[in-house]
Amino acid sequence: MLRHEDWRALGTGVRLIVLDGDLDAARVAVQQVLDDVDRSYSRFRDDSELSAVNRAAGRETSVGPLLVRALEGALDAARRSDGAVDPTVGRAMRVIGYDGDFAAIAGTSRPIQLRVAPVPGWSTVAIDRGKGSVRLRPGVEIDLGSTGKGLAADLAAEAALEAAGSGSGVLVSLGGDISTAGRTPDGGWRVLVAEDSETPSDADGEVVAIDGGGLATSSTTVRRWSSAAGVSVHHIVDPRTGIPADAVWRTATVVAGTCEAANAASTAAIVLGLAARDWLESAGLPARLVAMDGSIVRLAGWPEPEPEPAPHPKVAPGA
Amino acid sequence: MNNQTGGRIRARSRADSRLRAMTIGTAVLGIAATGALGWAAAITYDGKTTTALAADPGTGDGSNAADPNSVFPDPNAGVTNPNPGVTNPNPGVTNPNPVSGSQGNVPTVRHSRHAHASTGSS
Repeated sequence: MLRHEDWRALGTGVRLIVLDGDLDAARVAVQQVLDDVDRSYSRFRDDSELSAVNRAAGRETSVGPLLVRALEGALDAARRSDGAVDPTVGRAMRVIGYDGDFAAIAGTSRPIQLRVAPVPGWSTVAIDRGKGSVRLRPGVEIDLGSTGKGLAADLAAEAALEAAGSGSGVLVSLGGDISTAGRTPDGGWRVLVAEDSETPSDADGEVVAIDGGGLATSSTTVRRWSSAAGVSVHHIVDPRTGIPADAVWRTATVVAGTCEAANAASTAAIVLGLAARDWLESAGLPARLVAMDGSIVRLAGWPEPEPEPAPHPKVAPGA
Repeated sequence: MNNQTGGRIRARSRADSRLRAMTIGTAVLGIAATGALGWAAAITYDGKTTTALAADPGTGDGSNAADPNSVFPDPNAGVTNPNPGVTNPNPGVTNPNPVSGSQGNVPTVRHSRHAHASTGSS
């Protein structure tokens, strides 16, 4: 039997679905992971470990294993995407105005000075796993937006599965970034692909099923805000320029072996623009890209939609 | 020189010939192999030096080593290196195993109905 619970955490919606397991215990486990993530690598908490690293200005900072793991994942994604996603976009994110929980900044109209300059680059991040420490060059700030939420979903799903009990299965969605673990329901875990993760799952739209792994969506149409000068910006920064990426795609949805990988790949697809098609194909990552004009590109094993059944022919009255 | 000695000499001569043929063959094979290796090295070397990624002189634990099983391939398409001084360690080489290993296998996607959850940006 499938049971689910919805709540809000980390400034986004959380959905937990448990197949044949202890939902209450699983929820406690998920919330514990999310609390740990918030304390470890939230950019919006002054007392998080990541904020301490960002303030350290070139000094080595002791951090816990969770932040080390998160940073290693971010660096791996940066290396594998050849810098299309890069955790050193933190300062650029702050400059364009994304320096707090989105609900708090969306209504503000502060002056934004966009400055075109490459971000410092992920090679400037030094991690010492043995000592549990991180050192950034002065002026470098980290943002884990392209991998952190996906990693949190993966860790939450693992914890939920353990708490739910043997023989169970779980799905964890953090604002539409989805990770699964354990058993799969008949027909797979079924996900509505939408532009906004707040879309109810029973709304009309394309539904796909997966039997494991993770799925994530990035968008240039959600989390937009305007400067006082009327410049509309979105939250995905191109590391090559330090400003929001050109909006070639409205959304990029990617399926991968983990939600962390899907999260990074969907963000990279937005940054890469047209080059995302070849990149995703070569990676073998099933993807659905929606262009700004609404046309849809399905890649690397993402199935074409089934044709709609033909409408019944109209029969003339009295025939 | 008796017949026995003559036979030995002929046998030795044949053995010498075989040995020379084998030696020359081995030498030719060696030269060819060296040439092939040199050719392979020449076409795969991009002339750039490789700098350690996320280098930390004090680390040395390999924590930043490339994971051959990472989910991502090396794309080398459409994106320039944003990190001056750091070269791509695998130019032109696609990850031979992009989707398995520690990051799990990429699941098959199929169409369905009646969703359990929604994906989208948040």
